[in-house]
Amino acid sequence: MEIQRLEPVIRQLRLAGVVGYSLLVMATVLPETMHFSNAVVVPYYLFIPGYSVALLLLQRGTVIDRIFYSVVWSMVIFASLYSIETVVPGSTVIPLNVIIPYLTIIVFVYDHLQGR
Amino acid sequence: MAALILMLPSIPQGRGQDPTYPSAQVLVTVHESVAYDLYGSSVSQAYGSVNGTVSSIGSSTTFHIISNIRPYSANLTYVANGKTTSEPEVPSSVTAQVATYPLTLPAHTTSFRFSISGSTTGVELLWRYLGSVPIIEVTGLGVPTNYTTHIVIPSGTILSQEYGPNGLSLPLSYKASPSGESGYSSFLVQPDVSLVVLQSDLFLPASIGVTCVALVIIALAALGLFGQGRQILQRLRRSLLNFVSTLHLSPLRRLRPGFRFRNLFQPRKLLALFLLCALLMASAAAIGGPDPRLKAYVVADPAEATIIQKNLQQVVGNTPIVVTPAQDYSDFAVMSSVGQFELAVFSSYPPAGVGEIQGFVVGGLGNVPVIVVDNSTNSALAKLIETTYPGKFLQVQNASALTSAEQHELASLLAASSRTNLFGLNLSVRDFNALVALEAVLSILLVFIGFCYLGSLASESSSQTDLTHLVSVLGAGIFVFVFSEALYVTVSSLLALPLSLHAVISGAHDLTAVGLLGFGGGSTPRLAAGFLGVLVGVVGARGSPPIKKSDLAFVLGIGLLLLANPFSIGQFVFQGLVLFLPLGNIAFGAAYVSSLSLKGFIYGVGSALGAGVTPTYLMSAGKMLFFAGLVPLAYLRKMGRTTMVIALLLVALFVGDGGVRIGEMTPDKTVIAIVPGLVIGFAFVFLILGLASIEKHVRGDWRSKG
Repeated sequence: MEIQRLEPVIRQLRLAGVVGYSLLVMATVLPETMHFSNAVVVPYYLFIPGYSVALLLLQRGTVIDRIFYSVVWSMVIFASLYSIETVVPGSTVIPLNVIIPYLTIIVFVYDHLQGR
Repeated sequence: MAALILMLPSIPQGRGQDPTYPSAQVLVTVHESVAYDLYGSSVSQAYGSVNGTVSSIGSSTTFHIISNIRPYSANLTYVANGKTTSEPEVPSSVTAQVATYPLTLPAHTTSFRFSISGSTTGVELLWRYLGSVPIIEVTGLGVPTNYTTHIVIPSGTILSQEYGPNGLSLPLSYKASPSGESGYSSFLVQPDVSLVVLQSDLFLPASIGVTCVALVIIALAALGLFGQGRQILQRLRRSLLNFVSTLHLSPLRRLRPGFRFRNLFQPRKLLALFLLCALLMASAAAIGGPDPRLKAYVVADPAEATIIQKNLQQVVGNTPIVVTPAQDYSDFAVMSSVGQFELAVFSSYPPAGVGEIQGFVVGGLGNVPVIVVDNSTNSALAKLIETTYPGKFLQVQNASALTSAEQHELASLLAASSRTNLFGLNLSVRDFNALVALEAVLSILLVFIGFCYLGSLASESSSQTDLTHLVSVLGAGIFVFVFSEALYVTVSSLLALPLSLHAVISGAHDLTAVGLLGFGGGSTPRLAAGFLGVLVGVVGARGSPPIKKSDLAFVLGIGLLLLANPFSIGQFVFQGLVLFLPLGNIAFGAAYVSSLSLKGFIYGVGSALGAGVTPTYLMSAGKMLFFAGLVPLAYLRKMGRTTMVIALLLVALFVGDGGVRIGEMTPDKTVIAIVPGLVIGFAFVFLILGLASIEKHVRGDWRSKG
């Protein structure tokens, strides 16, 4: 009962955390942030983009399901966009550090607005 | 062919027509034997000539003419010191795709004419005709060259599309020219046209008519006017069933009471059949192999290879099988690694081809026990072989005329390295060929059963969670592919004959086991077996998702309608169909370019995930496609009715096409393809689930019933 009451708050916090983390990763393309450790970016790519897709697609599932799909979808998103950059000329103008967090925010916000 | 096309230079501009300047005029004429049929091939007459003015030659000059015209005859006439000389038969070295003519003009030659007459092939498919346009290339002459190409086609035929090197679409640019033959029209086309699509002038109105009729049928169906038709069909069905029941089939039923063919399509039973088939193949190969005939890989001119074969016959006592680069060289590593060759012979070979052959063959010579090199071999190549494989190297004067001492030494070396049957059996060539034919059939059956197992596992209803179901399908898919490929390697090694090969030319009989059945490398039957295996497995499994006939008819009907369409969309679908048919590596147009983009995407994902970093773990787009197909296969039950049919057909095509690479027998490539393949599969799933989402909104319900 108590947890159910807290759920909207948890969802708001989750959204804020993901958006903030995504913006931080996007900021790493700026020359002023060159001194940021890669340890900031690596966990993001391992989990967060896929987590957003897993939230969107998984209507039910255990914690293991969510972790599995989060990692898988993250890998899929990264590898697909990397591949598209190698195939489409000129697409490297926008770095992956911008595209992936941008798409992640869009998916997360969409999922949030859907009220899942 | 591809190499030849890549070599085709841009057309030189300027003074080629002026006879006072050194120049060469290349004229190609192809007389297309056009036929319109559902499927078939035909041979067209082709003629080519090279007229050269070479007034500046002060010393003898050697150059090459390369052409993909399959030659009947080739002759050379030249004028030197005011005297005309003719060579009625110019020797050539012919490979699978091209013939190379080395020509030497003596000093003070002022002009020459080289003529070739021969044939080129065309393909008939779905009442269109794909005609190849021959190419003649002059290399090493050092003068500007002009190219002119004429196509002669029967009147009433439309030149519908033109494609250039690498299958790229070219704008229609032909001009009518006098044919001089009644009932035929002649067209002057751009010299970089390598493929033309011809169709009857009736094709356009006929396809528009078919499309209109189909649209009317769809409209009538939408209005629900087929109810009476269905009643008639049901009455016919009942009559047919009544007739069948009057046939006295009950004794057969009594033989196996309770037997139902559909009961076979359970994953457990199919897995057992798959393993049984594998055991049968391995056992038969162990009992019957290795091939009793000596097999030699001979890198020499084809004419000389025949003489070398006769020489080897004197050494071993029976007729050895000689394989030359003209038959296959890109698969040499695989052929040699399964012990196909006991001997490799190197002799004179056209200098233009030595580099490419060297790249493919020398690395695999470590798998060949004896290497014979004669004095006419390219010196750099001979030196490389001698330094790389000193323990196997046997230098001879002339491989076409071995001395008795050389024959004796070669015989003793071959005797020392010969393989014997595990059970001491000595099968005759006839018996061995029968065994090989059996293995070939089983190798295709293995793919069918294995893929059928995957289909049934993916579609049977179970109480597994989604994740467990996904993991079990992926695990089973990886097992089926890796196990099948391992079995192919085992059986091929036991037989000393590859069950199949990836790049072998179609129609080759001596190179592979499936070749004995007339399938060349066996890609097409494996593709068909894999495609059908998945379909049968999915549809036949107990508790499989219901695939309604109406959905299947709808999807297939749309496909056929698009195929019949006479405009760009129809051309695209036609080009896509051509990609998957055994038409001798014909690939062209926007569909081909799209397939290259898909291939580029697959390679991109592969390189992001560690594939192709070193030559050991090379990427294979086909293998990755197989593993990619497994993921949507596992999600079939999650899709709406129509999406499921589309996904099923796509998955069967992907998995079937990727499954062809089982016969490639390159386990390293398989290992590196698994992870990228699965990742690509999830990307496919994302797209297919998007399509399913659209269907959900259109239909108003999400999941397929059942």
